Amino acid sequence: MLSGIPARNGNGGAADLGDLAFFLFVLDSRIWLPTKCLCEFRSLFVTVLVKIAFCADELNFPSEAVLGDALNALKSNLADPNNVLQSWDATLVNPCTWFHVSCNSENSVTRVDLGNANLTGTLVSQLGQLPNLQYLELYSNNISGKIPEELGNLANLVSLDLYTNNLSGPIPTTLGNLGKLRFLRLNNNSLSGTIPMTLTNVTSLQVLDLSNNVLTGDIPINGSFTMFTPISFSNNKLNNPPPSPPPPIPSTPSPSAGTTTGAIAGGVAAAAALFFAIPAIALAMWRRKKPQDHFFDVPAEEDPEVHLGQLKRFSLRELQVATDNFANKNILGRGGFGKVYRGRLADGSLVAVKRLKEERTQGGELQFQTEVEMISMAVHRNLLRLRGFCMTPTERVLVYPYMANGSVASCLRDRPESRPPLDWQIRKRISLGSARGLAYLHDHCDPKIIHRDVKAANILLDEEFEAVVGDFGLAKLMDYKDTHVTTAVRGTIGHIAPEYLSTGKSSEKTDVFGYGVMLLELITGQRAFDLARLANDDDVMLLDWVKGLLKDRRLETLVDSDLQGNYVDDEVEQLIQVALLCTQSTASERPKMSEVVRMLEGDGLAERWEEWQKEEMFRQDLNHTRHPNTHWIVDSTSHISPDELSGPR
Amino acid sequence: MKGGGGGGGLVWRALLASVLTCAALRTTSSDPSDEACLTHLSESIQDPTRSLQNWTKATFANPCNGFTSYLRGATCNNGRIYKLSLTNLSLRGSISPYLANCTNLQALDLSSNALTGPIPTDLQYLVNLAVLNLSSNRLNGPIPPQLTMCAYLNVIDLHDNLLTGQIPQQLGLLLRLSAFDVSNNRLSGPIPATLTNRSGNLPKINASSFEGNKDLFGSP
Repeated sequence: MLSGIPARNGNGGAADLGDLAFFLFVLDSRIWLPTKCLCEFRSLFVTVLVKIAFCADELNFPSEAVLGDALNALKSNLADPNNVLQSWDATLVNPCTWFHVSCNSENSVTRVDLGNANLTGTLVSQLGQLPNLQYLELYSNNISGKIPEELGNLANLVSLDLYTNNLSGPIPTTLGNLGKLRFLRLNNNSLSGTIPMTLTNVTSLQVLDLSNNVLTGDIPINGSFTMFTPISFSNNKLNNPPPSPPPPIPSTPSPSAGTTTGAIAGGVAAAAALFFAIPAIALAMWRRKKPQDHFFDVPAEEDPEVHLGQLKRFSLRELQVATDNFANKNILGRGGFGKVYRGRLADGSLVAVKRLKEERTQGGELQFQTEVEMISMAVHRNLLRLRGFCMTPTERVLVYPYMANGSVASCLRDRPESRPPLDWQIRKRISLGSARGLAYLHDHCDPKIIHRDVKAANILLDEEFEAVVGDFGLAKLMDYKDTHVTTAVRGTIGHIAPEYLSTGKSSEKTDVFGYGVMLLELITGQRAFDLARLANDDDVMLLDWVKGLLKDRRLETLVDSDLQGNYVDDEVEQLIQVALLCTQSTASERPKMSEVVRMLEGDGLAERWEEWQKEEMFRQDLNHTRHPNTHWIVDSTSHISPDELSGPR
Repeated sequence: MKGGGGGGGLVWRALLASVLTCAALRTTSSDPSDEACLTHLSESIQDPTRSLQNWTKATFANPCNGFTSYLRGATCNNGRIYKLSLTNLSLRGSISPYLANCTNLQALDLSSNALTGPIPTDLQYLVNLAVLNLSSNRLNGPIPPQLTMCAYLNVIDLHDNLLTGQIPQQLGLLLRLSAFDVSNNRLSGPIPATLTNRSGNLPKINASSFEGNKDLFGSP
């Protein structure tokens, strides 16, 4: 019964709710709740919830439903030829697991990132119902219609980027209510009417671009608008030049100015006249010659980290200070890509600083930047977000947020006595969360990102024990130096898919294999390649060991003893089924990660499993004599130097 | 593995090459005036503490990618440099007049360094400049009256330098000027009434902005 695990991101209340919801599922695990019923179930659940006086959470929970409704309204108003809204599943408990949507710890939507998504259609007034929304990024689409006045209700909005669409109608005066707005970019639309004076009240406004519209009337010059120059307003039908200020230098000082200050500056004035006339004319000519480009207008003091895709570039010095000069005591782990250090930045935040191994050729700077930026574009709750990078002629460093609970591998195997083992609920959540993260890399990144080293050590856990896939994109990053030589296989013994090992060719299905093995690690708590078991005369490879035990239906031998029997047999069996589907030796027969997500959510596993069993039976009859599975792995890995295999992080 | 990997490796490399091509297309083209601006600026200043590590020709050719800046101290917007902030880096040398090529510059902050030489009159061509902070350096020479051409200046901070000559009274014409500080220089002559006693509701400049210039006299 893996369906309907309520997504859980919040601390305290929301988390408890998740557990309770799951508890209810488990109580009645015989009733299969189709996902379609979840909505009804949810409202029923809320009623039950209030009755059992779970009062601390009632504020949270219903609002999540509203958030989802608001975004669903948007979805239904948009045409989505690229299927970027595919994951916007109305039946989920809240929208926080949807792609392109981010939430805060209270499961309230804070970001909608749908720039460059080829969307058409119109915006909806319900967008005004997202009280904690900070970033509404819908730029570079073909969205038409008006800007809803209700956007003025988004009291926490920091950035409103609707530029490069087909929006028409006026700029709503209600936008003047957005007291926290720092970025307002409405350029390259067909907006008409006048610029609302109310916008000048938004003192937080740092970036304004209204260029390339058909706005009319005067350009406000007071309040927050004092910082904005004509590039914010170019290519409109606005009154030109901007009314009253700022006066270019008078080419001849006016007589009145001369008389008031004449006593002091009389003699200077005449000289100044000449002095200014020449530059003024020069400027006029120069401005005429210069084509009026379309630029963004940005006054001082922008927070460099606020925009999506905007990475902080750290100086080496900053990172040296943060990590105590890369002191050994701060090493969190060593991996195939280099060492990872714990660090504390000047702002007090904890980070994981990954110092990439050297050995690169000169001139790869731009490629590095491009790659790093590509990694940074992958924003999902279950992916480790890149915070920034550092690049010097001798160093390449990546900066990630610090994950409080380490990796799944460390929680399974290097757990201090004082910490409780990962319970079964958490393990299930990890399986779903990491699947979602990988599915995002495969299906929603352009170009798609293949992880190439999926394993428990690369699945991290945040303070809520939510799975966060780390280390993605690095395999490619590190290949730049040797694109002209044979690309080394990256990965970890026991996790490497057979076709990757034999051909060096990786695909999404390579990751699916690694994920399947990771699931087995999660269930058994064992290492994928554990020589210790060799001594016990078990199969060296976890996979074969599991298959053997499953065949003999010895579940209790298989499941991690740390769980002390606290698990649901059916759930374990289903998770093993998924794992075995994922680790089929023929890549094409493995499910896609998005299919895995659906199976974990309770959709389609039974059918797929039945089909697999039939085929497996057939295969076993066929392959009874030769056993390809065991020796290819041991043989081929023996050719690879340990250096090429990334160890724990 | 190597023996069997030939064909696969080829495909793999082709795949990688296509990814590289796609990736290369994502970077936006640079702006030649920004490049000239940065190149000249880096030539005119010295960086004894090597704080500007990536201030290299390669970066100048491509300092921005959309909103991302690759250059220490620079902030980008829509592929253009819009802010340069190189403060407290022990920089020496002078301010290149070619800085005027950074035509989209909204804020220039070179404060708390050891820069010498004059304030280039060419800064007048930074018509989008809203903030100019050159305070706490060793700049000498006059305050260029041409700064009045930068009609959008909100802030002029030149305190703690070695500036001489008079305060150009034309600066009072900058209607958006809300902060002006020339304290602790070697300025002389009258404090322009156009700054201290501004007409209408223009923000007045406090007396403290003129302190520490022993030859200044006048109203505030």
